[in-house]
Amino acid sequence: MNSFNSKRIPNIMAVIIIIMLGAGLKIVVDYSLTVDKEAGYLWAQKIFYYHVPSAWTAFLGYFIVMIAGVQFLRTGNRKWDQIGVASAEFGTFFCLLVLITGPIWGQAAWGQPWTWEPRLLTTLILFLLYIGYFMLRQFGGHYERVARNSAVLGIIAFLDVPIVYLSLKFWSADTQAHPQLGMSEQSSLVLNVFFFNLATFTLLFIYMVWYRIHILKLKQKQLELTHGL
Amino acid sequence: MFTALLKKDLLIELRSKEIVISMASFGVSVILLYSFSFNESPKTFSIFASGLLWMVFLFISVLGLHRSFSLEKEFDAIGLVLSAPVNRSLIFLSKWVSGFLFLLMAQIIIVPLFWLFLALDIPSQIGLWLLVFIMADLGIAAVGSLVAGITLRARMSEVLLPILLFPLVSPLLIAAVKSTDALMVGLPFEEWKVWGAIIFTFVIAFSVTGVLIFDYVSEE
Amino acid sequence: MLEIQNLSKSFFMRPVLKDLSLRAKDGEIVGIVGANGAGKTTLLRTLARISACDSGDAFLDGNSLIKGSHKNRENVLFISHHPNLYPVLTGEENLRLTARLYGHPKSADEITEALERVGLSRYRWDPIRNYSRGMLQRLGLAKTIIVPWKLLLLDEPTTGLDEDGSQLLENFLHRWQEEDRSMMIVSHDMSWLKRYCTVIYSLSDGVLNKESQS
Repeated sequence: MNSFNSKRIPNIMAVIIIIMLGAGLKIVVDYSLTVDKEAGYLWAQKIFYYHVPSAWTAFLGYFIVMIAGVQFLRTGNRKWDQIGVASAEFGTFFCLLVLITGPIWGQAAWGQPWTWEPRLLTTLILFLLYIGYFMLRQFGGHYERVARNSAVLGIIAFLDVPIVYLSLKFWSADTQAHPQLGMSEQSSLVLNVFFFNLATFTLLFIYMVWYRIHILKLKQKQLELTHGL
Repeated sequence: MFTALLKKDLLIELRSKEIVISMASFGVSVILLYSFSFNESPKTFSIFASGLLWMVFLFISVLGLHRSFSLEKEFDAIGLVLSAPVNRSLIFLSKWVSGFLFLLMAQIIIVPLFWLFLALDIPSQIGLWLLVFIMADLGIAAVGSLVAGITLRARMSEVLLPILLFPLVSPLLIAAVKSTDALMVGLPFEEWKVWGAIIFTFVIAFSVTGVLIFDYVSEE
Repeated sequence: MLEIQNLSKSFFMRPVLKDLSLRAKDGEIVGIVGANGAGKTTLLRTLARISACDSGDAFLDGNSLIKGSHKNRENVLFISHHPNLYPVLTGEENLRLTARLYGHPKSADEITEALERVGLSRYRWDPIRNYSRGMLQRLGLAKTIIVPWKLLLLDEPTTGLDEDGSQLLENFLHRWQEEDRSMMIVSHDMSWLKRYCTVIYSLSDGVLNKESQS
């Protein structure tokens, strides 16, 4: 990743993301279809064009935390820790979006904001775990140990995901079903809008992580200057 | 080497008795409070019994694990084990097994009292029932030792440990509660084997991870 | 032969050891002086692998102490100013544990003898929580008897010792000097180090400088 200092590429990217977000909103509001027949084609169902891409982006973030954790433990290169923290922060941000948009849909569709739905619950558990992750970074002591321990935590957190998901799936087999529709059953219009938003969110995620790493590097440089290196 | 480390943990506990005693007395007092709070309707209580029981076990394991790892910090004792030519995986394994044994010992005190105080029926498949306890304890001790290692030198480690442990251990808790529940009602294994499988997967996943990764956790 | 290669370590992103290298032949006694917080203790803790380092390695007779197998440290003994022993256990139990962890189990007689040599045999059945600072230092010296070491890392060995204890330490050091055993001693007291060390380095700003050689 090259630096943020040459402002050109980041600025162009930011403009593209803003245009995509605006266009995405317009398309979702005015042109997109609602897909769930059982729920009676609720307009509120359009929130899924944001809910699902947020969830995918959050999991992408946490996946990167795990990869960065493995790489950090292998190489000890500070770069991997910075990638890990930045991904954890914005993974958690998108996680929060999932946890906000989920209940909005729930209220409209089922008349109650929270249901014990396995995927929503897995997201909540991950969210809580990552609150702990940030606390560990805060209270863990000196940076070098914190970096190592949070790398380990990032790895075990992601390992836990499939077990959490499976157990919740069996656990809530009798509770409210989540609209779960196969990708292949969707009309191409629905899919196009969905993938457009997914692309926007992924780009936004990359941009945020990139910017965050830039700030972390500046902080590191500032620290090095104060120590007179 | 492993036996030396395990013996060390057990000998320390034999001398000080602080871990098992505090786990057991905390557990018993919570159960006493349960029976005060729920004595209105013992019938209804038996529906929640296994969930409440496993919650107690989770709380006392945090207590025990935190104590067991803070003992290593006094006199910087862990420096002896770290500087000795000992594979770090063995340190994890010894902490895992001793944590498991402490939890089991505390349960031996708590569980009969739980049944006695709350007038519950004794499950018919007692062997299977014990096996569920043993496997789930192994799971709690595995992930607990790993997390206790991570938080060992952190400030507020006593708070960080449960905050990190509870979300991680949630699938194991669900599976343990469901299996205990099924056994109390007397369901055949066929009907709840999926929970057994989840407990088993959990134990394997976290013990293997602990063995592989503890080297990075233990150093200062 | 001990060889430290490009060892670096930082705390809070502040470098404590900067690309540190050192060679010491067998039988050399390396002294390291430095102010408080110069990183002397950190250097020893890193060599003993209690602390992780950022990069670099150290070799004893060609075996990597830091990146290599933990077995490679079987001949390295670290005596710090912490007791590094379990407060609940007795002196005897602690020494027995130490011997076992280094892979050389010792009989009760051998352990009693070691405790006798450091003047602690009366207290061998007391939990070391009740020991005074000086007694704990003596117990540390007892470790050197029961672990067959080739490299001894000593961190501020004089602090907390009474007159008898200091005499005991001097005796041990004299014997090791005569036996040409390899050591690395860390202290803030230059004149004390000069009495034993074959070579003295000063550690400041994370860099080693040779001070004197006898």
